[in-house]
Amino acid sequence: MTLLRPALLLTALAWLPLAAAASPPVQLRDAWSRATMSTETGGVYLTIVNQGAADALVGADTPAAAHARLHRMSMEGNVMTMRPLADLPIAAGETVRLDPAGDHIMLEDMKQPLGRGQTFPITLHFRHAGAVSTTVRVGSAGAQGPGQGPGQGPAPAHGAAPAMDMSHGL
Amino acid sequence: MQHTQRPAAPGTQSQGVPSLLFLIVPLLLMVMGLCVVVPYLQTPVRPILMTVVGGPFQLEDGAGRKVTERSWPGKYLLIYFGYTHCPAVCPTTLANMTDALDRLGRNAGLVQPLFITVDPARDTPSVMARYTAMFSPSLTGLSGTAAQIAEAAAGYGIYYAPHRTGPGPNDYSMDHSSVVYLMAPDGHKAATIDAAGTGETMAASIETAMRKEQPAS
Repeated sequence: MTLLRPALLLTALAWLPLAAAASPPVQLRDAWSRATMSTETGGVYLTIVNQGAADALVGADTPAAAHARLHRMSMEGNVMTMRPLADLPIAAGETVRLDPAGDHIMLEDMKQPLGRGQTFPITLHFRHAGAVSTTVRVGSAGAQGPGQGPGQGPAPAHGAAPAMDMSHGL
Repeated sequence: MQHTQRPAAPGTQSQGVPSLLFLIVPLLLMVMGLCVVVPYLQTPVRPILMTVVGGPFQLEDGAGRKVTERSWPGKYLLIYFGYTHCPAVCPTTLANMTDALDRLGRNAGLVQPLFITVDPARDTPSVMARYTAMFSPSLTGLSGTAAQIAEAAAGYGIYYAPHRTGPGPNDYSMDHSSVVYLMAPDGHKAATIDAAGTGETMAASIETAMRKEQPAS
């Protein structure tokens, strides 16, 4: 689940002494969603980069939907279950990816169906870092990652393959 | 012959050879034994599953037509159960299923992909039709009465159950088995396709299964 791109790591290390003043400790990247048919449910997926101390994602809100809740998809045997998540702890220096195959933000009671190519803002609330906002880009109904159409597969930098767990290194 | 006439001195090769044989022969026997036993360890699982999966169903497509497992004569059925309010797993699997069919080339014409809802209360036939159209024109969504869905799901060993997420009538998600089955034209299960696989791995599994079913083509 955790990954940190090497370039990001270098940047982080280089700016370590100034980091506290220069940038917020929690940054959001590559927020994406899938086109929906109805207004009832939608998913938001993104990467959370925590360059500060241990924190936790405790909630989210967006003008696009009445509710934005943390959800955990898990497989028990071959049975898929979806459960609300009270919070999502994020270790110091950890990068966490929210995606359809695990933890994600579920939009409920949306103002309108999500259309491919649209964007909308979302604000994530962290226990210590507070509110952090980003823009969500809507892909196709079968999108597999940020800026992806169906069948194109996830981008290598964000995909499952070349993930590097650096959570203990920082 | 030489050994009987001229016994070798202790410590020479002729004593080393039998002791080596004591090592090599049992090892060879063990390897040969494994070659015989291992396939038998793996095969009994398949016939058991084959007899369980599949069966008759009566459902409704997006145009309101009654359909059964015999409505696509001569075709393989690529079947996945899910629901349209599923934000995470179902779209991923459906996207990978349609990607897999794109990869099959002309063989794709032999396969009818079906998405059967486990949430008939919300997923009416027309909802299913509009939903599947977002993925591929070839993907057919099927719904039915609660009893019809229960019968179809039971035939394929699909577990499903609502899970309350709030007080409202629509505040629920569905727990459900996430399995893709490839059924042969005659109705028996040709393969279980890894629902968590990519379009590429699904296409490979489908092609392998089709070759087994039709060795000549």
